[in-house]
Amino acid sequence: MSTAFVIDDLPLFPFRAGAQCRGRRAAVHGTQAGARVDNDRLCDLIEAVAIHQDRKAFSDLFRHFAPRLKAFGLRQGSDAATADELAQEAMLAVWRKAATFDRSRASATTWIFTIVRNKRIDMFRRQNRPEVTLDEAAEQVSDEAPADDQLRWADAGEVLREVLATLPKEQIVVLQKAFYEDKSHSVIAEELNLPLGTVKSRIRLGLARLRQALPEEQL
Amino acid sequence: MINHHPPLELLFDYAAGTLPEPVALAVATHASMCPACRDEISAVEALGGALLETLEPVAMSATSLDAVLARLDEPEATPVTVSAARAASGVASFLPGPLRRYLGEVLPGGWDRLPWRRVTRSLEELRLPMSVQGFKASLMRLAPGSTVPVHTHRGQEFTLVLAGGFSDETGEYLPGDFACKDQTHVHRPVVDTDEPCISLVVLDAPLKLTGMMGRLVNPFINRM
Ligand SMILES: [Zn+2]
Repeated sequence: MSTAFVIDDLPLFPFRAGAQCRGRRAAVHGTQAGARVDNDRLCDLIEAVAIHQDRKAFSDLFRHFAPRLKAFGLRQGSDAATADELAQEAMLAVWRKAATFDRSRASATTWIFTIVRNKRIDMFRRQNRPEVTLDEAAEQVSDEAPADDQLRWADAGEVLREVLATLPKEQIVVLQKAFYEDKSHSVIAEELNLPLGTVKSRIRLGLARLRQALPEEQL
Repeated sequence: MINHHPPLELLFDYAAGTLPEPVALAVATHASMCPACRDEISAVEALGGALLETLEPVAMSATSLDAVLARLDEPEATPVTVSAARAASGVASFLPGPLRRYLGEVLPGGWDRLPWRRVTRSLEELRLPMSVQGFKASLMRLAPGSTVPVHTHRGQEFTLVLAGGFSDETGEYLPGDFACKDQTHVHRPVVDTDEPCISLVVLDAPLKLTGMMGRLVNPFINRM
């Protein structure tokens, strides 16, 4: 099990630099400028909610995200009313948790994904969600560099979205089931009538394809 | 240096939010101790965000925004946050964060102050309350020099070392190391450190004991 989180002996997403690769990527991905601005605007709105309890900013966030969160709810098999409720509950959590958002660690959409993911666990599974925390006890053990690496994920969203479109259908199906339908690897295997190993390798292949498709400049 | 990490599937399912609570607890606690796995989780979350953006938006009900706006000032049901629980009870910082909410009333003073329940001469257990059935999540404390009876697993067993360490045929496990065993393993861990080995152990099915010592520990292990 010591090869965990490694595919073919290579890290999944070997991004290296955080801030300094942004400029280069902007040059490489000129067409993504729109998405970049979009993320900046969404981050501004979340911060306006966090700092000023800005209801206008919240309404803008609601108009952008709630219909996507509803789609997320529908994809996992909820009826329209329940999906609507999930979106509303998630948006209420956005209002309450806005102060925990850090744009240097995650894109606005990724942060919203973690909110709706947790809300789904609350609402449908009625389970607690143990959250990763950072603290002295944990850090004592770790003699590795602190995870400033997370910085780079703040920027990865556009690239990921771009390369998602190039994945083969069967990999997308497995990834979508994993994210939208609240299915673990083993349940997906049962449903698709595939061996667990096949599901694992499709997810690994899907993630590996994403990694390969990332521009060299990020390495 | 952490040498044994959860398999990618577990990190992925944790980030996607599909793991049952006890397994999620083991993964979250490991990730709290492991920057590399935190990073993998961030990677999958970024992918989740990207997938969310690809969904075709579906119109919300006409009254939904007003309904939510009307609720913004509602007082939130007081959440028992980790920091609040810790401040209130003085839970010592030797516990990794994700475990603290399960041991809210522990006094400071280290592992000895936890309400251990003795199972055998060399084994103590502290069962953690879980919101799902079918799993068992416990802290286990094994005395130095002790062995766990030879056993195989009907389901899966996840072990995260918190203090001390053990060895088995797959290697040496020290604080932060994560072991993942299933029915294909027959193993016999040995606590080969000078201090007790304290681990978080999550089982998703009762163990099947294969050794002579089995009968001794069986009642405790089968208590799911
Ligand atoms: Zn790890």
